[in-house]
Amino acid sequence: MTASEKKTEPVADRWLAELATGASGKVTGLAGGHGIQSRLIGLGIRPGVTLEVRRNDGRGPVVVAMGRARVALGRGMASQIRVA
Amino acid sequence: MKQTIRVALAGNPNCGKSTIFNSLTGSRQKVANYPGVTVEKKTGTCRRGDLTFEIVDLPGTYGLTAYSLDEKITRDVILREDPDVVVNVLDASNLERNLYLTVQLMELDLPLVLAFNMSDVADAHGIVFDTQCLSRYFGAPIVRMVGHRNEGTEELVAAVTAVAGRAGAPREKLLRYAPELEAELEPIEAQVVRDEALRAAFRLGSGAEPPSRWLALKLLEQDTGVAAEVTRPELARAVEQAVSRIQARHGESPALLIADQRYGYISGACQEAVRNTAEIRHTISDKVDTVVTHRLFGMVIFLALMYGVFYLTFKLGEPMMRGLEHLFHALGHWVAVAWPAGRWLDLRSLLVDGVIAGVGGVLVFFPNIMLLFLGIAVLEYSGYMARAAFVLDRLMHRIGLHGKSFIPMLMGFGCTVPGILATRTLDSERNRLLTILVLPLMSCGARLTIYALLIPAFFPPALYTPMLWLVYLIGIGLAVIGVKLLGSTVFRGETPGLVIELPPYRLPTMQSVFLHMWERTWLYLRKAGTIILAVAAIMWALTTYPRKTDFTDGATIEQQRAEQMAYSMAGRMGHWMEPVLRPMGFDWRIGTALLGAVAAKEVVVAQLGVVLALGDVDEHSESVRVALRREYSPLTGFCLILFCLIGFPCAATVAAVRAETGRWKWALFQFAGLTLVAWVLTTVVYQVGSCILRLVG
Repeated sequence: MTASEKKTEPVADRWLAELATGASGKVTGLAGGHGIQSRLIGLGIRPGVTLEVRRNDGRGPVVVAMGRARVALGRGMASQIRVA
Repeated sequence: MKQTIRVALAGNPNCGKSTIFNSLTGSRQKVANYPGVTVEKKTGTCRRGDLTFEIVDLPGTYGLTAYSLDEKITRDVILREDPDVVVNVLDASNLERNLYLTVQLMELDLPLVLAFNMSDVADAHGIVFDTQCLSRYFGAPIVRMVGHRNEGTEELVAAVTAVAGRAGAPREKLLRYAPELEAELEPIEAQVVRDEALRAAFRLGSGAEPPSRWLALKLLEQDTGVAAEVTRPELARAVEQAVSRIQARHGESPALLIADQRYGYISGACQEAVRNTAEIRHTISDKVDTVVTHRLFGMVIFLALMYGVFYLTFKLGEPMMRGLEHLFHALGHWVAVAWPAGRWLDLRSLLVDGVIAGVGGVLVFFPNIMLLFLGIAVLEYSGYMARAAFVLDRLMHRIGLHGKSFIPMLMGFGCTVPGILATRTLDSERNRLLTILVLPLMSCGARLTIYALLIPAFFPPALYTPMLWLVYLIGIGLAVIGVKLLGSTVFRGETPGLVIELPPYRLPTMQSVFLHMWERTWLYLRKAGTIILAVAAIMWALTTYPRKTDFTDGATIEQQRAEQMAYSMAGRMGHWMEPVLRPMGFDWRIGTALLGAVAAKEVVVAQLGVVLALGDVDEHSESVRVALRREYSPLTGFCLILFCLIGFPCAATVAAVRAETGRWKWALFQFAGLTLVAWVLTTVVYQVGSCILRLVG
């Protein structure tokens, strides 16, 4: 997000892996096959849910918070989750 | 009323299910395997008055799909066991996510009891439930529990008893899907009823039919496990058409749509019955995690904790191991002395030299193994293991695995067998096989015995630690290369990537940690009592027969033993193997000792003592070291270490790989592959080493 953009403005869809630490996004879609989707859904990562990125070092896995749960997602996985 | 009530415990990972299982059953637990599948079946009993509860602890899962091994197993087990009551344990402080499994259990149409565990945490977070209202939504009584303080256990028992008493009562369909989904489900369900073979494949343990609505729903979800059993082409076609209609109308797969509606039902229930009085704050766990999952500190903490676990294993285990060594030594001595003179000498020899020396040689490591599992249990129950998987994911990803594979490998340092069992938590078959195949390269406790004998025999004290470190490192390095090679040839394909929940840190309960430790240690003890016992007897026979009667004149008892060894079956086999052994710098005596490695690695140590014509030997015996130093060069010593590190996975490993992969193919592939690699590598090291030594010398 550039400085000129306001936080409240809806941002175009991005992949979860692109969000920086501390940023939040609402899940808009899941890519990937049935296996990946069903695993994410089982963990509560599904369209409509807001995720907060707790750690994204630019490499390696990403940690997200959903309510009280913390989930570590491999970078590949985090690149299958569309957020806005 | 029935005297026995069969109960299955289901729940998400980290919901505290095993703590509840432990407080229900105490030490009345047993671990067995399900027939046909290679999954541990943890069962236990619990008695109240004249009622007996038979409790099965299912693997922790987030759902009941066929996409992950654990979930598929859980589902099959529920169907096969057909329990009287399913207790669904939920983390009350994270309710919506946990209820997703509940909804899927409801679809299976089994009598349910919901255990809202960790309700103390929920209270602390200001979450207030209307349990009566929730109970109506999910068609099951709700019991509030605090597992680690043993609160609510009796209420749970009472609720289970009540639900079991109502068995057979019709349950109303609480969760109805959107009309367009229900409309698609109906004709599929009608076809399911006609597909006898499909319903037979999912028949319950009691012989009852599975709910046809559930089968229809699974088919619409494109569940591979259920779809594979469809026999009527009409049904397959009906499903296919329904799927494409839904896909066209909603632009989403039916599976996503169904999941969405399940969550919709849950949200509706929670909105009505759950109030959050406090804002979700960042917890202590989060603060700890900023350090523990840090890119740099995370790695430092990980290495420090591993060092701590190994320190615990070897430093604390050492005196206990010594004690056991003396004990077995004394036992062997006692039997030898107490034996009636001159009678059944072969049997005495079998007992003393075969069974007591062989099995005892393995049992002496039992304290080390127990301590290692204690350390691992503490790390697991505290929630750290998930962080370790996170910290290592980046590293493991580079070689084409993910962080979760690291945990089984870590356990492999204790003993390869439990490491192989631990691969069950890996969610892809590819990762699981890859991890299993390279696991023996993690130097196990048994191999440490060999290093402990050989390193001081050939190298000066200043080099002890660096040499040991180097040996472990060579193993890890080879595992990395192995995964890389296999991953890009035999097991092509992407690793599906890490998905792991980071549970809040908590203080592990003593009971859980000790039960867990004991359970795994027991597996090790059982191996000593079965496989190793058998192999020790075989090895004894191979080294004892055929008997030599005329020895060289003036030979001492030790020399006679050496002559006997050369004359025995094992000695002859060693001689036959010599052409293969020569390039590695080994002679027939080392070959004879290596035969023992097939049984169990630690046998090598005992065998070396015998072939070098010495009396009783354990890895601390200086006399063997002196003899080794006299007979062989340090280069040969190093080569022997190298070969023992890589080659000949032990019999227990081969058996475990066979059981876990379900095929002899992988067990034999691993055995042959590792042994071949060991031979090639050791030969190269020996030949190159000899050349260099010749040039220098």
